[in-house]
Amino acid sequence: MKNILIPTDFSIRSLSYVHSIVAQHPCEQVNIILMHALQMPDSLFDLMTYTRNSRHVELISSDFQDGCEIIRNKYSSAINQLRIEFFHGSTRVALRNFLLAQNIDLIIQPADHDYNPPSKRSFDPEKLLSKCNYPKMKIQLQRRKYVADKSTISALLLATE
Amino acid sequence: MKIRTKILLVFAGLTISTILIMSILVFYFANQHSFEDFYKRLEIRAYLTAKATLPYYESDSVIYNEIREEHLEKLPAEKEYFLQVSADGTVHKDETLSLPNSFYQQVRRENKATFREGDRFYEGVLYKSKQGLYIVIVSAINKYSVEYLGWLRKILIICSVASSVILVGAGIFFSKYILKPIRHMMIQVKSISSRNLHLRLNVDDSGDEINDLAGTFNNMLDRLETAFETQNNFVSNASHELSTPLTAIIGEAELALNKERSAGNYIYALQNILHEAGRLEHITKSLLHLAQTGFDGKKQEWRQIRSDELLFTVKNTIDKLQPINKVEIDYSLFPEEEDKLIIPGNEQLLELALSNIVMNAIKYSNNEPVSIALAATEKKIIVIVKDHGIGIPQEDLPYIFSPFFRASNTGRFKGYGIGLPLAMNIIRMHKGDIIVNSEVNHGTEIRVELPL
Repeated sequence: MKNILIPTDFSIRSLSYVHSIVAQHPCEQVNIILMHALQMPDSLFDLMTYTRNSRHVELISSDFQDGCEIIRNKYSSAINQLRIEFFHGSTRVALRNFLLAQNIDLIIQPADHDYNPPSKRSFDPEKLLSKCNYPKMKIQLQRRKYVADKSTISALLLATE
Repeated sequence: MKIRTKILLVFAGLTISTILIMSILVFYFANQHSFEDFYKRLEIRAYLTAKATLPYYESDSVIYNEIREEHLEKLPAEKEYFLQVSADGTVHKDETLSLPNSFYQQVRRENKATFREGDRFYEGVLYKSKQGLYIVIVSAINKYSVEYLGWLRKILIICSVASSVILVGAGIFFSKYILKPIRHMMIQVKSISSRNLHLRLNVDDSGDEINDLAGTFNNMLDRLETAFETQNNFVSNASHELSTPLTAIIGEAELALNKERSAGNYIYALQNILHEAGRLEHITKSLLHLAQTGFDGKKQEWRQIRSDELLFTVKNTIDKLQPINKVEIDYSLFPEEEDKLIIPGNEQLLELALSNIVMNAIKYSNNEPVSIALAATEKKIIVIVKDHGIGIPQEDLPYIFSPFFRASNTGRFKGYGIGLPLAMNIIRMHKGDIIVNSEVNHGTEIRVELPL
């Protein structure tokens, strides 16, 4: 069973990569880990009161959560697990430890750099990911004609249109 | 009981009881201490008396008596007793003394003992003299400490009463002060009626709970105002919608009747009348639907239905109504497990709601492609209906679910503004929700969420 990592900015669009992953791993169950990268705080007090999750969980919008559930339901036989993980840090070593801990086999690299940080501390881990020596896969989403609102669940639909 | 009196009672009760407890404790400990002090004085007297009465040397007696008379004033009702203790340990008791046996035992054991009988205090000490073992008892009335404690009691009582009065006064002021914003708000709310629903409560930016409450009130007023306006609009729109075909019918009939006409003219007129009457019937029928779904009084048939079958039925219905359409069912998010598709609901009503939404999508997009997608989360199913039509202007979005409301850009299309409100009513009956995303001239996306 492969553990596949997708960097996410909690937009529905980042979930659409799952479609191509499932298409490229037929007859095989995969674990999908959606990674959101956050910078460590600079100030001492922030560092001391820094907790692992609670404050970041509210970054996950309910639409994103719905989207995850929809994907999980749609590919319930192909996806063993779909979960969200926060990566705290900005160094290569930290990322290496994270990848090791999550036992990642494959990293998805979005080809279209379309990252909207949902919070001040969020950052696009693209540079870090491209430096580490794990197997990578670039996925290009199809260009779509027009989307009324990119944040809604219908963004998921378009990926397979 | 009013909150004001409650606050007053709690505040006053708390503080006054604290003060009372403190006063009582002060009195109690002062009382205890004054006894100890008095016993000490008695003890000194007992030793001096013993030394003066039973001295080692006769000459000592004179000196001791001198000290006693010069430096120690006589205590009120002071009495002295000398009780000899015989060799076998028995005490020769004085008849006038009524002391318990434990007192004597304590004296023998610890060399001294105290006893109290009302205001009279006894101190006994064991004294070894040439003449033998004696128990010397001095007793006196503790007049000083009685006076002192009386004063203390008086002061404490006066202080407690005074502070209680002050505290109750402060409490009245305090509760008034605390509840002032609420009374203020009450006065403001009282002045708002159906005539001046546009009035709002004053909200300053202090961010306290009272302001939050005022904000909540204002929000509620916003909604009430919208509902009121909707209601007002409904009546005017409904009468307008109903009167238009009626006017047409009356006009056509009058025109036909005002002079003799050929049969062809009559047929034409009657056809027009029939057409308008049909329109009228359609409006009243949809109104009836709307009214029926708006009430919870009637119990509809409720059962488990499969949402995918529902979509196929909707598609079939639309194929019948509008044979040339480009409605597609998008399978890309269909869940794999069937039980995720089953929702409780009334099939006819849901079909009516969904087909209304899809028909709207076809109508306002001039038969452009419309996609219907179905997705399931853990708690709800989501139906997304998407068109590439004229869209809904942003400022009209809040009103699209009000009956007879028609968006400002729908002039070219025929409609009565009943379809969407009806759909909303039905979806609400199923405890679901409709979320609309739209962009003018690009398309509309309607998301219907129904709980599993």
